[in-house]
Amino acid sequence: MSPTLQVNTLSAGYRRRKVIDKLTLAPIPAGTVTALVGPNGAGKSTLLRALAGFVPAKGALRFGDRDLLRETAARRAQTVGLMPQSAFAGVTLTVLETVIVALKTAPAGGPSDLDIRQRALDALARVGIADLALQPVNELSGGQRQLANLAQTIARGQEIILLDEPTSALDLRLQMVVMKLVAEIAAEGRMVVVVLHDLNLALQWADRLIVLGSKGLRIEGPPREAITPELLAEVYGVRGRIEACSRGIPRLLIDAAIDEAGA
Amino acid sequence: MRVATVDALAGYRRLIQRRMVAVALLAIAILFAFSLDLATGPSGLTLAESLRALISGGDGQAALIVREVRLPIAVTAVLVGAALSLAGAEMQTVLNNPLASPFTLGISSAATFGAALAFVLQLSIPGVPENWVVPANAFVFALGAVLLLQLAAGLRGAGKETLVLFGIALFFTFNAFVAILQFIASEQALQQLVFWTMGSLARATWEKIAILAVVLAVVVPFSLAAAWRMTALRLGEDKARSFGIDVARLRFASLLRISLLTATAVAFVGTIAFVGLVGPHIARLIVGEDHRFYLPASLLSGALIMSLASVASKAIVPGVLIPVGLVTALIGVPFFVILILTRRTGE
Ligand SMILES: Nc1ncnc2c1ncn2[C@@H]1O[C@H](COP(=O)(O)OP(=O)(O)OP(=O)(O)O)[C@@H](O)[C@H]1O
Ligand SMILES: [Mg+2]
Repeated sequence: MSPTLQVNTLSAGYRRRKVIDKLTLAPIPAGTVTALVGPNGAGKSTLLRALAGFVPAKGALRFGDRDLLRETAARRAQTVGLMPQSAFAGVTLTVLETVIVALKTAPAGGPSDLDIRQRALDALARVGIADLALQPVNELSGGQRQLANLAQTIARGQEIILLDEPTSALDLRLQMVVMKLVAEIAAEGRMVVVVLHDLNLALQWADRLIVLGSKGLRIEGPPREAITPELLAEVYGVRGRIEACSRGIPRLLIDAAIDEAGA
Repeated sequence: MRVATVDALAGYRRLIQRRMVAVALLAIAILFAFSLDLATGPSGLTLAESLRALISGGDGQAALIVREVRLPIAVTAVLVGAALSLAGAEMQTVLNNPLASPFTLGISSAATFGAALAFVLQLSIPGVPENWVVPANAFVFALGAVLLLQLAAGLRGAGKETLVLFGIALFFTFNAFVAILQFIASEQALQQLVFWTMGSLARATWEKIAILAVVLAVVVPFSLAAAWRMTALRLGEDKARSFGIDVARLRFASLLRISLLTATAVAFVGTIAFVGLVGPHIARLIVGEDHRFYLPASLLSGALIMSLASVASKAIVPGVLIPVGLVTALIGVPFFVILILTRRTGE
């Protein structure tokens, strides 16, 4: 049986602010796409960073029978790959080089330079930016930069892939391309946890949904069951509805923000 | 897609080759500057005469001048430039700040304070032979400054910004201390101190060269071994961490290398402000940020700048050795401005 990621009474945060407080989640199975959603500042990025070991965490975090919190950063990075929300500010390396660096600094080492170059290019091709290989990353558009960030993250082939808003800067087509790639990665038996703000993407692509509200975990489960008008009102402060489109697929429609007076 | 892939691989190979050529050209340029340095001096020996004197040896006047004056100065220039520039390069990466250099973060100021203690108050470490007192003091204080920086880096939650600000605080603090010492110094001590702060290669000796060479020989391999990790750090701390790199340890090891390089160089030649800042920038403009090339290119451009500065320090006013610290600024600044104005890739 493939291992699951188990989050139990996990607490994490920053010096002056505990953001994640005793969070317990249902075990996350390998081979699935989990969407992590919630309003700005809910702690989505912080949770991903805690899972990857970037912010100190207490509690229990296990992958199969491995205790991730006790492992070295290098060991954990062999299993967990995190795509940060933003990256590459002021970096003049070319797109290809940024991926090569990721492979070169892998603890395993192993493959020859030529293999590494080929693998790096394969990763770029997978997100469709092989033609940008020799462009400096600081000369890319916001969306292209996001794709480069993604290519770099998936290149190492870790078992757990954490993506922080990989689609936020992408056009309509590329959103689909990236979410399809996410589904493919899961189909390879890897685990993907992806932060999304577009709940329709979550409805369409995610197997599971984790909703973080301002007071921690609000609900988790299959997206179609988890997303309700009550949830939208409570967590996001919006009036919205889920309606089946003409093809019978559920779509989320947002009508208005509920103003402070509670009108 | 396949075609793009093949093109990209070929393009990348060309990129790498171009950088190797650039590094090789830098090395050749140093050879020229070094020869020029050997051929320049108040005694009027030409390069051919110098080389002949060097090869044939003996105790003639020419051989003596070349062996004891010109060669030590030329070699020291190259080594000091290499050490300061490599230190600056590593510093700019680990602190993620293009303004970081041994000078701007107070390490040179600390060394100056150490030297000033020796000149003005005759304070020194017990047991140090007399002609080593100043460099020893300078070394201890430079090292102390870097250790303080490291302490600041180790504080809980202190980021690289804290580190830079702390370095700037050190800079002003030590400068103030030096000013106090200057205020109470005797005229003679003051003159020595001022001359020291201008940085000079005239104090070059073979013993100092040996020490510098050993420090470089020890530090450079570690520096190069960290090249990929340093490149990863350039992508951002989060990125480096996501690759499994222990960023704190990488930074600590780098600061250790920086402290050794800077403290040794500054101890022997005094304050040389510009090389540690400009060398890395020139390297970045020529070979980019892949640290396999950026680190050696920084080392070499520092060596080149210092070597040219050494030539100029003898040639500007014939018969007078102008303090090289002044010349680095005079040579480095225009060189730097030209490079910035003519570079192809914009931000
Ligand atoms: N480096 C930091 N230091 C201190 N507090 C932080 C830091 N980063 C985030 N926070 C705080 O932690 C809380 C959660 O932030 P986080 O980035 O996890 O939110 P998020 O859910 O990812 O939001 P967004 O949708 O805007 O990306 C916020 O209140 C934020 O102010
Ligand atoms: Mg976020």
